[in-house]
Amino acid sequence: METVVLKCGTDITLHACDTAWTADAVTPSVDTVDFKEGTGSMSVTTTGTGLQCHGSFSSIDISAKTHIQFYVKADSDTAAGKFTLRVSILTDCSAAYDTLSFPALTAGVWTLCALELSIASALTQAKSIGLVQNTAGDVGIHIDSVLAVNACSYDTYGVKGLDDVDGIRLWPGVMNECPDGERRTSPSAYGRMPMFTIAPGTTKTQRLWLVVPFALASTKAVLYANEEIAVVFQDAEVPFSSEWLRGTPIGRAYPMAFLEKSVRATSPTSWS
Amino acid sequence: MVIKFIIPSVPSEVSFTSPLMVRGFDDVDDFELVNPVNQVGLEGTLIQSCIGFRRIITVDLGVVFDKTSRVFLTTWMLAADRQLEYASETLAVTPRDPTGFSSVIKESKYFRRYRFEVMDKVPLTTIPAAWEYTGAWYDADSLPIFGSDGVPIYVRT
Repeated sequence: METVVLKCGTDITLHACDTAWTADAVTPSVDTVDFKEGTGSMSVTTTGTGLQCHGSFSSIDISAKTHIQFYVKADSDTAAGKFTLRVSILTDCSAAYDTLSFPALTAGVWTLCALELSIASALTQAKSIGLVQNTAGDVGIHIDSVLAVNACSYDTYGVKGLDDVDGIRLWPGVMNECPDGERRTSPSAYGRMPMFTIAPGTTKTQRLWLVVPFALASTKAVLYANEEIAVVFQDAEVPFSSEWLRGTPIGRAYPMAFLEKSVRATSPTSWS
Repeated sequence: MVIKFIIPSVPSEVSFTSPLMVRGFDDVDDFELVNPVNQVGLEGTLIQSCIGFRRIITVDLGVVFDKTSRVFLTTWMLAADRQLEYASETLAVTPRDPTGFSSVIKESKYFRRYRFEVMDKVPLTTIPAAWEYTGAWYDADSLPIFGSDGVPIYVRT
């Protein structure tokens, strides 16, 4: 099984991490060399346990969002749950309104996280986010581009077309035939063709989310292998159907086929 | 679970108590996007949008033994407005194939099986009531299944 996160709609930026967070247990800085988005990332070396530092912002209503998305990098391997991201309705992040547990992190690798909010509908006045260390052991941490997003996570049988060379769409996909019969093409870019089958065992909420809002949204993305890829459906009219395993509606699988929304002339980082 | 074919203008209706399959009505199975638009930008970027979606609902009634019910199906197809009632939702539908329907006869003309494909008459932009329904039990093909999503009970015949 491989997990993909599907995302749709307009993201809300909570903190771009291009400016410094506020010190609590330690003083963070802005790293303008090692970052994923914008001009910098939040950089800190943790100490002890508890709230390390926080980033505040003007009150934002994120009650319609389901997940907090961000990039994180640790300078050593860390276990799942060592860190949590605190979402607070207080400017100083002194009390948690929601706590999101980090997955295990690999040293030196930017990890794209999409962590589900447990009380999203009540977060009408989010004012800060904070980094909390739950177990002792100092670690250098970078965080970048913290967003509130509308997303849903799915188990799949395996993902094709994103992290390796599978299908591609060439652009422009035209062929000219010369008067002498010679045929010429000159594509300048390409887009990937992500494909996967959502495995049976989805909840009703996950199945409904595939249509409303995901299928209806004009902005869609797939989060996989630490990469976010904007996509559209390969078939715009009938984007997907369920497959009833053994002819029964109890086990529904969903084959999904997408096209990368934009095109590129160079290989994506996930291919390397 | 009972599926009811309704002609609201008369009004008249016929219920089928044990359809072999109802697909797409009470969960996410088949649907189509309405007025899907594909655009390709000069630089190759794809843009896609639509105004809503329609469920594609397949009803396999199995063998319909009662001639009155068989004739009613024709009346239902002829009606300008047709409804289906299933999984706590009464739904205005339109046939996927407007040219007609035919029975499936295997080996004997005395056992006529009917299978319909219909769609939501009106495009949807929100989750329909029947998709929220979780108490359904199912008959699927020749393998009856009782229970619900959370607690399926298989009965092998």
